[in-house]
Amino acid sequence: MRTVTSVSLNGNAWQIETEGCAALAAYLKSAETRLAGDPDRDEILADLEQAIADKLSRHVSAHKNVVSAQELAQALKEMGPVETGAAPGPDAVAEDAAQAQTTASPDSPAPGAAEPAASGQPRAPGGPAGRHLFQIREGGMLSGVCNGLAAYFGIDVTLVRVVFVVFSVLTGGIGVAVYLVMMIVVPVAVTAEQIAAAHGKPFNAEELIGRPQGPQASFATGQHWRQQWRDQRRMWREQRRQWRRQQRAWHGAPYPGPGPGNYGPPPAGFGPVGALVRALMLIAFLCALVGAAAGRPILGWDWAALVPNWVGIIAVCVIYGTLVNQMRMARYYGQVGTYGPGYALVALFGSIVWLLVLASVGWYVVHHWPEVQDFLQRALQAIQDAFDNGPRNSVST
Amino acid sequence: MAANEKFGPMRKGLLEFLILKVIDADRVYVADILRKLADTEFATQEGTLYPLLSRMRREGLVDYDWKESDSGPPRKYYALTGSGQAQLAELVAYWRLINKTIEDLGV
Repeated sequence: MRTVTSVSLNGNAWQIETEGCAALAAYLKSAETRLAGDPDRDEILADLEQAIADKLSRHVSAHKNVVSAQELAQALKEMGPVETGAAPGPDAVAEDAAQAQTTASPDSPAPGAAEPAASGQPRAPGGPAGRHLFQIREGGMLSGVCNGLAAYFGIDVTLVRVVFVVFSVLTGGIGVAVYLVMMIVVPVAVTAEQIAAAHGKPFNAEELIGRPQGPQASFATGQHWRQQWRDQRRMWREQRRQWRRQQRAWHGAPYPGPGPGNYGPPPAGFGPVGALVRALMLIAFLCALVGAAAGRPILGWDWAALVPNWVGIIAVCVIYGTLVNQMRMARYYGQVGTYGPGYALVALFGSIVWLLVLASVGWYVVHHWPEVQDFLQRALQAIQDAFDNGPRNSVST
Repeated sequence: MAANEKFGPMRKGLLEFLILKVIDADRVYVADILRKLADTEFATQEGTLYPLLSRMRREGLVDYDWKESDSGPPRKYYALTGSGQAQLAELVAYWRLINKTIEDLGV
């Protein structure tokens, strides 16, 4: 089975195999760039689109309505590169002038699919050949953030997801926050051009068509990535060592830094109340964990009917991690001499307020932000779809 | 080999001349022009032809009008304008002159 994308060529829809679309978009994009200074740019682009459409029409019939990637490549080859006689290269001023002129003339046809970048999509600087961070919905599980990151770093998306989940659990929810922020901030790759940019692939018709494909290419990038990863790890190790040296120099003891599980020796001054709270939280956490694993309703809400059990388990871990993190913060502030135990209570109070603010912001966002609601629905749907056939514990009702 | 490379710019420069000739002979649309040039030294492609025709129209040498086709959307049929015809005549005369010069020189 092959996926098919609908594209508009001079006002008519064509069904083209998705893998071929990038070449088409690249051809039109390069035509657009080369015609940047041409006052009749839009008209020529429409003519070119029509010419491509005429060539494609040879390949469709009553019983075949999809154009294959090969047929499209053949048509583009017959079209030949767009030559203007002038030196290629976009000239912003000329382009603007050309645009103003053509929009003013009444007989200028619709530019159609030739202007993906001009339709208000944010475009990172650095040229289309550079690699940019996008969310890639296609093949993504939730919003495509991990997918985009995987494309950006050229690594397997599953690895990115695992890292994200582990990171979220370890940091007590920071990973989730990072994901949400990226979901809102990072642009979504919609056009073929943007998807190519997300992968850092050249977006130029000749290069795109001539690009080596298949296992060799991916093997090469894999090798390249492994080398990079090793270098990166070496750098991190070095950095950690340096931090530790600094900590010793500052405190004479390991520095209780902002990372989890690294808050120094157990506190002496936080008292039995803190220990009791911690113990109760641990018990509550274990109960919730068991409940989540068994798919039991929490506070009367039958979440297990909506999401698979592992989501519940992760959620419980994240919530517990967040709480414990806050407690540790409080403890740390209470322990460090300059603040004193009084500040510990303030910090504890502060962290509770922080949690409340987080919860209310979350509630507000979910209830008053349609995009987020839409995203949550999509996320639940995606998770359900992915795990409908997977193992699932009994759902109590 | 070296000579062949020199033909490229020559062909490129003469393409406009030939397009004027083709359009002068008959009312044509782009696919006709391509077909007529396909078997000659001057075979070209849409990617070259559309921008060139667009420029020639801006220079007032050619003009087109839309005509319905039996299959597909309406097509642009090109015709020479007055100044296009004048330029073609000029080019033809110049071409003859060049030919004559080439023939005569070195004889």
